Amino acid sequence: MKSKLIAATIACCAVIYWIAGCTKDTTKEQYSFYTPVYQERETVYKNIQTSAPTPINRTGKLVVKGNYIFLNEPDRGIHIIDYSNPAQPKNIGFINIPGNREASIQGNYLYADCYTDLTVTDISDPQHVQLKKVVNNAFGQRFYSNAFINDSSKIIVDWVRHDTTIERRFSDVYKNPTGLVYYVTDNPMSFASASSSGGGSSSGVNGSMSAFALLKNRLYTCRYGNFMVYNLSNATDPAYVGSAPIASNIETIFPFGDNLFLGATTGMYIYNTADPDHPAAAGMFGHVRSCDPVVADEKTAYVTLHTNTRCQGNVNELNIIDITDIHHPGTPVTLSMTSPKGLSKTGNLLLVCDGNVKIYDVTKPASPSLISQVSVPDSYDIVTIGHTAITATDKGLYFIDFTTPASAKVLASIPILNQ
Amino acid sequence: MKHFLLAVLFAAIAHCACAQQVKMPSLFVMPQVSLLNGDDHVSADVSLSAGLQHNKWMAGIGGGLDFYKIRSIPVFATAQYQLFRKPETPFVYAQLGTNIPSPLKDQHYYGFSHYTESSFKNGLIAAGGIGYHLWDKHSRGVSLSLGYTVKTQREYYVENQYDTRGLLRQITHSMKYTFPRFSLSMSLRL
Repeated sequence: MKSKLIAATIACCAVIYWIAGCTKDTTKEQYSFYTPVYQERETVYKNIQTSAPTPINRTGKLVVKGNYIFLNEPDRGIHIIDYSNPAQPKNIGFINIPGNREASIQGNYLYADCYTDLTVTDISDPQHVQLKKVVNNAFGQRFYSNAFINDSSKIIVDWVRHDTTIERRFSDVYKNPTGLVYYVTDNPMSFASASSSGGGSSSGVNGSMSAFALLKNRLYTCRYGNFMVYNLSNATDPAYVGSAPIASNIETIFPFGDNLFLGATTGMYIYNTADPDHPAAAGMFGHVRSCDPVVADEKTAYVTLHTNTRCQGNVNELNIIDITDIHHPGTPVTLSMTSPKGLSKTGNLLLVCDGNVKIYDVTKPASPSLISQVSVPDSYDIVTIGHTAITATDKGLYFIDFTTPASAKVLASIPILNQ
Repeated sequence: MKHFLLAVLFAAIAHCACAQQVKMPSLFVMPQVSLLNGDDHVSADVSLSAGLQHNKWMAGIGGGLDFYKIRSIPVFATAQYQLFRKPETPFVYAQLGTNIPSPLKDQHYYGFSHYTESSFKNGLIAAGGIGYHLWDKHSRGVSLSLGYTVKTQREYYVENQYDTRGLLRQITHSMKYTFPRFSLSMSLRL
């Protein structure tokens, strides 16, 4: 009997191995993909004007000028928010600029990208802005990480979402055996603009995530590893001056004094603008690969490094660097953080978007002390005007009163749609 | 699920109590190891089930660790019916429960332009098959069984799509995995 059972067991094993080949592990995957909606360039330019306020779908970068906040909604345009009463900000209009990611303001003019073009818009009356000039092909064509190639003769004004479900063998999708991670290696277009510290009084104030710079009547952007310099002596007609090679993979540009502080994936670069048409490399602080917005004052640069972006890297920290000698930045003081992004320096205070907004006393930059944290989840860009901080988050726009830093609090917010 | 498992256990107890006045149901504890053979892959699971045995029926609940492709913790209700009322007998069994993912770090999906770890959600576990109690002394013994088992689970990840200006959009992918396997199991009845 036992021998029969053993024989039966062996037979079962053989059967299992034979019939197991019939099984198929399956993956049923649901996701969305997007197809572009194009419009002729002339039609797009005609529509760059103030329209009725629209709900904010997604927050981008910030520029503040006077009582108005110009909040980018990536690839759609710019929301105009009147915050003359920070406790009751009002969304008063929307400038339709497809492909817009960056903006800066000098005087009464808004300089903004519209895919490959640079637009100049008169915003002296925010409710009735007027397009003054379009500089074609100021920026390079975009490259997409999903290998999409756009029709460069037209402008993408919208994307149509398609939901889909596919079914396939598990082994066809499970893991990437090479461990390859695909990312865009090209330079992001950068524009840096006058900051709260670095700009003239007639300039708007950008957040540290900005990649536009306005300094000495020049607009600095970067394209394919080169500075692109535009002379704004005639504000409505930016004149291309030339380009100069810069470090690659620049993400943010922060102007202060005579210098431009460039946040790149591998370090912070300092360029001197003694000759504004030909910025010259002055110093550099290298760090591990990461995204790194930067702000600075006369003696100190503050750099945040964070993960979970296309920059890769596995570091989340704040670096405080002595730049008394900009040619030889000092050894950084490092503070460990959660996922720090934008930051702003005002007086002796440093405000850092690190999940929430953290307020540090940096009277002694080498030993910053945390004063308070304001609960503003997922904040990533911040601008300070007086004792009010305006921060963009994934959930909306928040206004923080830090008159008393130890008891800073949220005054008001404008949530994004469906929040 | 918890309620379902409790209901099965109570039903088994109630059934035994009503049907047999003389012989009371007995407790069993059954550790088991299984060889799982699926789509170009061989793996294993270990489990422990416990419950009540009465006449030809065994019913209980169990849990274990399933290493097939994406590690998971199945928690299930189990029932077994013995074909004959003797120590050595063939039996049929069935299991149904929830499959709790417990993936190893390298078992998460990593796609293009994806830098955040994916998350998982529970799925189902279902099994059925035949077996044989090889020997039995005082209701203790070794069993061999051959079965078919399916586990499912869901994984979610966010794909970040970039262009040269930065983040273009985030797309959430939902993947439902279905793993059918044949199993060869050996269990002890304690």
